[in-house]
Amino acid sequence: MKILSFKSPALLVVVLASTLSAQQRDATVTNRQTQPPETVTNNATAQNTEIESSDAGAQRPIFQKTQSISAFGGLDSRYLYRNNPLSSSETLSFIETAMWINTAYLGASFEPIEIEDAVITPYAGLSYTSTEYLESGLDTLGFHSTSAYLLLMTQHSSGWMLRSGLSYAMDKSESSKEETYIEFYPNVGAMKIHSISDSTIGIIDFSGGYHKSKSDPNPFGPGTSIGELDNYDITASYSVRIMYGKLVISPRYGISYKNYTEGAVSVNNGRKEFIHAANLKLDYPINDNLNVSLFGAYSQRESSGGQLQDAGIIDYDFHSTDAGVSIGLNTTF
Amino acid sequence: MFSATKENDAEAIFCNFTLGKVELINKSFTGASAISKLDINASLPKDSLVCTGVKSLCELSVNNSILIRSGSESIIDSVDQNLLKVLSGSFLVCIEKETEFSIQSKKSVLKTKGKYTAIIECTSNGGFKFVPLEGKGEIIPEEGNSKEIYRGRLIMIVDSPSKLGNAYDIDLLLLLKSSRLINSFPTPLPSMKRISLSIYAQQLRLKGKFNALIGDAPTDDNLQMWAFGEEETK
Repeated sequence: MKILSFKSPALLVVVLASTLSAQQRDATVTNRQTQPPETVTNNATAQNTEIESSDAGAQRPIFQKTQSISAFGGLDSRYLYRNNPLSSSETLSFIETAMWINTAYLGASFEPIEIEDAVITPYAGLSYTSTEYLESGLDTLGFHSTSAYLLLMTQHSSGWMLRSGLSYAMDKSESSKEETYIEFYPNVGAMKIHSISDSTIGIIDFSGGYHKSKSDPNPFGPGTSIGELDNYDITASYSVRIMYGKLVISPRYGISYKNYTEGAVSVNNGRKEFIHAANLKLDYPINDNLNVSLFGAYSQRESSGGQLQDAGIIDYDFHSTDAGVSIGLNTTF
Repeated sequence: MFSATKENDAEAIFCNFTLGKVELINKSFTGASAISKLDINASLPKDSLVCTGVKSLCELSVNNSILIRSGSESIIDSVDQNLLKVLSGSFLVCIEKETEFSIQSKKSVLKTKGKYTAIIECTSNGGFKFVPLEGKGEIIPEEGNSKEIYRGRLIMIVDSPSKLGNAYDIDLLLLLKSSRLINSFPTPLPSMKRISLSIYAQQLRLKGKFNALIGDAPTDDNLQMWAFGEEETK
């Protein structure tokens, strides 16, 4: 065993802080479910029989739901490669790993409320996600997440879909069985779909909210605040969906801004950051309930401020690449 | 006869658009002299039928607040700000302000209150189909109770005095995609955004579709249905 000796306590703090941060995943960059999956809210994929035009149009009888609650549920399994699972700034300390992420979700939409220029639909849902790191040495970082959300989606006649919701998320460490992160996230968003061609649509999305969190304080900061990961965020994104036969190709770019709000009692005092994310997803629906996907993602964080970062102890900047395959099973009841 | 212009006569009925053969037949005359071509921007004279030929279309504006589109091989007997009287064919009515408006076919008449966009299709029994695409209001037959206008719900108007016949929820998205009365005109309907919203609301409630299409009603008791496969559920 190599024994290290430190002449300066400050250097000890720097090395310990860097080492510790390199062995913890960053709960603020975890993707969490805050709204129903696209398969539930997106009606654009509804298939229709091809029928020739007539003056009055084809009159095909339908039958509508009689109950005021429609439930949906599904399973989603993703197997992926991630080159920087710990969101480390140092390329040399990248620990590449395969990951297996499994999600089970249940939800319900309630009776839509039709007003003159809008349709408002309430949703509620919950999900359970298991995240496993398949590289030996990282397997102790595996965790289970539970999330729940309440959401109001308002489709306006202008084409904008507005949403406001409240979500809850909790992470529990697989090894210690302890809750490591809890948050409530009141959030709002606006989305508009526009047609680019017969087979291509563009989607503009804006969202924002406030993450009210609870986690163990960083031992290298003031160490007094369990809310030091509190932050508000705003995100703008643009994505395109290209329908090529049954294949759906979806490139997306998004930029997020986060501002940590806990103040002087927090190690994140003054911390602000931008996160750029570029994704590409190829979906192939096997049938109405089963979908397989290939996906790739690149994300980059540019961070400033924060006590440890200002002191040169930690650098929160990182870049990370994912690539993988997923299979999704969904159904409505 | 055609002296009014859109600018100075808001009470007049104007022709916004024609495609193919659209003719006026003056009811006071007989023979070839009764027939004249309906020109775009011309006002509609009284006591004239408006007839469209094969693959022809026509759009009329009433009072600058009611839009009437006429499909191919259709005949309007008369039209004013309170009544559309038709003899055959298919039509679209778009009413932008709260209005009392009646629709009359060879045999039946339906009074409506409210603002809406609806397709009217005459049937062989002398009545017609009333298919609201969007809007709020009520429909009042001569006999029986009135009903609220409900988007996507086709109602047969039958008999004289007129009654509300069977009603069917129909696929609005398919109707929108396949209707020339909606798609084959140079300007979109002023209610197009609300029609899109109706389609969205219907998709939210959609449970399944029948593989059949509603056809003509040769008698008050019969309705043609064209089946094309097995029932599809969502």
